[in-house]
Amino acid sequence: MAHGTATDFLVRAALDDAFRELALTDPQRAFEGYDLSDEERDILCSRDGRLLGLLGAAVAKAKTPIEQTAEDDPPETAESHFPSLPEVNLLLRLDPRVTHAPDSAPSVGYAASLSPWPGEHERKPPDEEGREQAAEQSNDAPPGVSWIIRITPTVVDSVTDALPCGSRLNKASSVTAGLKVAYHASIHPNPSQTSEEPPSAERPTAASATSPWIHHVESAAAKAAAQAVRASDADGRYDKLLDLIDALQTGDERG
Amino acid sequence: MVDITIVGLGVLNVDQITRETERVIRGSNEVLYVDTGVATRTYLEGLCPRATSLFETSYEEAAHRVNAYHHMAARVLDAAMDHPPVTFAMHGHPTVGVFAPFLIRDMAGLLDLEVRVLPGISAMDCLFAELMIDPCVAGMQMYEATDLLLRRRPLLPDVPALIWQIGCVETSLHTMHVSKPIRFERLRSHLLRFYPPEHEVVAAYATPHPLMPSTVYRFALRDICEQAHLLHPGFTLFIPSAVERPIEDRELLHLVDSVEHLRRITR
Ligand SMILES: C[S@@+](CC[C@H](N)C(=O)[O-])C[C@H]1O[C@@H](n2cnc3c(N)ncnc32)[C@H](O)[C@@H]1O
Repeated sequence: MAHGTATDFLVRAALDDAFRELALTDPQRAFEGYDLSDEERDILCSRDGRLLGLLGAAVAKAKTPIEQTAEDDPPETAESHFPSLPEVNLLLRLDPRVTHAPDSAPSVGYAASLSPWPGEHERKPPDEEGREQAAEQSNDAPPGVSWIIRITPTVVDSVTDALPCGSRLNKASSVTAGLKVAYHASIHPNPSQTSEEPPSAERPTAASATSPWIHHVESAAAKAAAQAVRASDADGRYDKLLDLIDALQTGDERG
Repeated sequence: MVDITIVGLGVLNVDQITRETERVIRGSNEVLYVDTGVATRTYLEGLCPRATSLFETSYEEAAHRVNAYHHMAARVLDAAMDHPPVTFAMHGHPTVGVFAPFLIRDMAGLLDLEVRVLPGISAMDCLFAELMIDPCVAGMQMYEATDLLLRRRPLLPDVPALIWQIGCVETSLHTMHVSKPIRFERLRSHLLRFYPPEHEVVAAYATPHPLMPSTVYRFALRDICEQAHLLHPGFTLFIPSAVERPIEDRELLHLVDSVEHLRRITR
């Protein structure tokens, strides 16, 4: 009598080489002795993406990816509903101009320009850029300087027409009504301006190795917590170990 | 004596477990593991008298993933103090994308316990094989998806990139819910700063079971949001290089084929 489940079938296929071969070459014969639904047989024959669901169900029962139903959906907010807006990057350039008046000392003025910041892939090859910079610097004016102005828009609210109270935002209707957008602007040095090294060769001036996870192993708090772990009995040890983790992360800062 | 051995179980269940790992598990009094492979439990129970899965007790919907790592570390140390030696086993390679081994190492140091880490086959190894990638050709840059966005890390478009945890991007909380397109918009905007929109990228999930082929989706970078429902937490994104960097050191280029140069740089 058939008694094995789909999980048993999958476990055996992972552990038993001969059975695996049979499952791959003659699945109908491999199914003998297993009590499988038509859908399970279909999945095990076609071995498509649905097999992942079968594996997930076998291992964690309820821990397979959850498809959200409309009822599960939290009410959508403007932030969760609208796409994030693209960042705007502008290039602010200042070019000094030296003016030599006949009867006075030379005076310096600036020509300022604002232009779109070209995407990385639109940039010129490094040596072409270098040649241009060298050409620019050969006149007697000091080299120009440039910065990147970054403007990051964020949708803070939506203005919707005639949306019945309590109804969920509907993409089409709310988009037509309008968005309230806040802008955050910041200014950054232009990494590709006349530095001695191209941006890809940027390096910190002083070497300081960083560790991915910083734990205060030398702190008095961690040492005391370790002592408490050692002193605890088997029943209390797990909690003392969690205290030790806490001490390792906060160190002595809690005083 | 080693009190705790930290091992990786590979990705393809259970075929990628090394003999070294198997030997260590056989010699342990308990193996504590975090791996959702369908045959893991049966297999480990055949090697060790006590096999304890930590997955179910570690992860909770909408809870911080870091809490799961704290729980794992405390359970492993607890076992090691009670009945050493123990093995802590996890999916893939044990120091790739998992915090618990680092915590265990530091806690063990304070408790005078000895820890050893053994290599395992990582998802990266599987993807190198699946996609035929040679990281020695143009190099390889690797980032964790959320960290990439938080720090706005720059990418070199001439170097292929692996982006880990794209299916978990923008949250440090655990969830099994399917992603919406909006989840990938920030990632797309960031990547578009370095790659053209039509650049073909590859989302890959190396098979966890011998009956199942690996899953590989290829799509234009600009279309990543439309793939949201497919990109579960097991996926890694591979971005091939978009341009080739020209050779700059012409002198060395000439020397690499020169016997005379070889003699000069060797004894
Ligand atoms: C928490 S990390 C664990 C990595 C694991 N320790 C390893 O060495 O592969 C999880 C991430 O690894 C990658 N990953 C894990 N399994 C994978 C698979 N079967 N195929 C592709 N990527 C995978 C994904 O990027 C996933 O989000």
